[in-house]
Amino acid sequence: MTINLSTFLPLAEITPSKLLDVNWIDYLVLLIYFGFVIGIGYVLKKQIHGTKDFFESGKSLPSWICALGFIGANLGAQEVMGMAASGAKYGIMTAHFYWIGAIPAMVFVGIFMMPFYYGSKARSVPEFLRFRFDEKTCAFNAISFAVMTIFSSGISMFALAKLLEVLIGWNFHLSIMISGVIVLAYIFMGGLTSAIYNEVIQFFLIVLGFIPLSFLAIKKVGGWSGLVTKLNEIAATNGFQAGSYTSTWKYTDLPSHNAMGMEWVGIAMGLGFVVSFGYWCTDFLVVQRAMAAESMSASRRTPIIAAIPKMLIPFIIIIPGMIALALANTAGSGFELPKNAEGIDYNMTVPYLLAHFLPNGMLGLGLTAMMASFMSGMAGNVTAFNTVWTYDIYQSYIKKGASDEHYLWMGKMATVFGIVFSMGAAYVAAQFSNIMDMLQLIFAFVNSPLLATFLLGMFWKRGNGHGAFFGLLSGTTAAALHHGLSLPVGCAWGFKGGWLAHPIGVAPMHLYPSEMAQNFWTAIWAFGTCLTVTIVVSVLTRRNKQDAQLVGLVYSLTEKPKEDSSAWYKHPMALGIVVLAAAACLNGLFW
Amino acid sequence: MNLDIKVPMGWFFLITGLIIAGYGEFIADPIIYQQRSLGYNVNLYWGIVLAIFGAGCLFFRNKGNAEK
Repeated sequence: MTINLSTFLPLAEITPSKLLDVNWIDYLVLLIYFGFVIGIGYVLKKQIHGTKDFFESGKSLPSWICALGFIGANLGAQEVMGMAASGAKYGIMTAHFYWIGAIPAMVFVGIFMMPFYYGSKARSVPEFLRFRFDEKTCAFNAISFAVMTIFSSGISMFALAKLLEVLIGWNFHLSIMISGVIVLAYIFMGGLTSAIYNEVIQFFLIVLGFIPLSFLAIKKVGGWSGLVTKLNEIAATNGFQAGSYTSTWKYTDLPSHNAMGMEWVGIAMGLGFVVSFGYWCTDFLVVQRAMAAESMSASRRTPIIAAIPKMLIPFIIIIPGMIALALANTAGSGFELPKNAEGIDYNMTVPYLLAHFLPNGMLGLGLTAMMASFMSGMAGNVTAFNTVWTYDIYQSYIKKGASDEHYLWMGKMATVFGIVFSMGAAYVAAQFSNIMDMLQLIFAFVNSPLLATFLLGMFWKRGNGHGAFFGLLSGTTAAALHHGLSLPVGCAWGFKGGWLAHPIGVAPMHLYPSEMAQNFWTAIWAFGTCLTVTIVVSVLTRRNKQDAQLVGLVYSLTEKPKEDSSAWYKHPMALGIVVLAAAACLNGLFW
Repeated sequence: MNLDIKVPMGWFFLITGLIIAGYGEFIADPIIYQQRSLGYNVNLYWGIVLAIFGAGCLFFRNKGNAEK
C-alpha cells in the first residue's frame, strides 16, 4: 500500500549478473506453477456466461476465498520485497504498516462500508460514487483509477522483468512478454474468478515459501534473543536508542529516537488513519474482491477474515529483513546486504536471503512465490481496470444500452489492451526512473482525499455532488501544494518535494525527518482539505439527491444488515472485535 | 463457480511437494544443505509439508462433496 515504489529504482542500476544459481528442478517448479495458473483459467472459461461472471465472479464466492484474494491482491511483490527491505532498514517498526496501518481499516471496511458497496448493487467503486453523488465525481475517480492501475501493472511488470534479469539472467524483453502473456491468458479466459483463485494460490505459495526461510534465518542469528542483542548493538552504533529496531512504539516519542524518523502522532494519524483507511476503504482493487462474495454477510466478513493472516505476515517478511541486517553486521556470518552505487540496496534483501539460505528445489519454490506475487500484482490491477473501463467509462460514455454479450466482449478486449498498455508502461518505467516516485505521489494525492469523500458520502446525507467533486479536486491540490512546499531532510528538490518552493527561490516551508513522515503528513493535509471543502460546498449548494434516492447509500437512511448466521464467528462485529483485540495484543507484545 | 479452488491448489502443492521431497532425498548433492540450509535437508522436510498440505486440500474437498 504505502511502500515507496522508488525503492525498486536501484534495480535499474544493478549490473545484470546471475545472483541465483537455479537449475532444472527450480525451473520445473516454475513450469508446474505456470501450467496450473493457465489451467485454472481454461477450466473457468466454460463457466463465464456474461459480464456478471467475468467482472464480479457471479457474486458467488465464499468469504474465505474472497478474503485470501483480498489479501493476495495486496500482497504483491512491492509489498513482499518492500516490507522485507523496510524491515532491514527500520526494524519491527515496519509492522506499523500491518498492526495499525491495515487491521483497523480492514475491520472498518468490513463492518461499516461493505454494506453500502454490496447493498447498493454498485459494480465498482466509481459506480458507487455515481449513485451517491453525481456523474462528474464518478468520472473523476474512474479515469484517475484506470490510469493508475495501468501504471501500477506496468511497474509490476518492469520490476519483475528487471528482477529476473538480475536474479537468473533472463532477457528483459522476454520476461515482459512471458509475464504479460500468462496474465492475459488466465484473465481473458476466467475473468475475476481466475484472478482471485490465482491470488489464493499465490498467498499460500508466499507463506509456504517463506516459512522455511524465516526458520533458517532466525536459527542462524541465534533465535529471537540473539536477534535483539545484535540489533541493539546496531541501533546504538547508528545513533538510535538501543531497542529501537525491535520496538514498535516505545521509541516514537521523538523522530530522532528511531530509524524510521517518525513520531507517534504521524504514525497514528497519517498511517493509522488517513493512509490506511484511504487505501483499504476506497481502492477498488481490493474492494472488488469483497464485492465478489456470495452474500452481504460474506462480503462483510471478507476483509475481517483477511485481517487474520495479514497481521501475521510480518513474521515471515519483516523479521527476515531484520535478520538480514543483523547477519550483515555479524562477523563470519557469510551474509552481506546487497549494495549499489548509493550504498546498501535494501530492496534486494529478499533475493539475497533466498540465495543465501535456500538450496535448489526450495529455491525454485521461493522464486515461484516471488514471480507469483508480481503476476498477481499485475492481474489485480488488470481486473480492476477492465471492470472500471467497461462499466464506468465504456458503458457510461462511449456505448450505452448495448447487449451483455457486447460488454463481455469489451471486457475481454479491455483485458488485452490493459495488458498491452501495461507493457508500454513497463517500458516507460524503464526509461524514466522517476515515474515510480511520481506514481506513488499520485496515489497519495488521489486516495487520501477520496477517503474523506467516502466517509462524508456514507455517513452524512447532506453531502452533495458539487461538494464531493470540488472536495476531491481541492484535496488533491492541497496534497500537491504540501508536497511542493516541503522536503525530507537530505533530499534534493524534485520528486521528493520542494518543487514549488525551489523554482521561486525560497526554502521549503517545512523539513521532515524522513520521506515517510512527509508522505503521512501530505495524506493528512489532503484528507483534511477535502473534508473541509466538501462540507463547506455541500452546505452552500443545494442537494442533488433527496433522502429517498440515498437509501442503501447513506448510513442513517439504510436498514442495518441482518446476519445470515447465528454463529458469533460469522458475525462481522464480533469477528472484528476479536481481530482488533489480537492486533492490540501484537502491538503490546512488541511495544 | 463450479471449480473448487481446493482441487487445483491441492494438486499443485501435492505434486510440487513430492517433486521437491524426491529431489531432496534422491538427487540433490547433500553438500548443498551444508552450504545453504544449516545442514537441514530442507527439500525433503518441507517438500513433505507441502505434499501434506496439498493432500489436505484434496481431502477436505472430497469430504465437502461427500457431505453435500
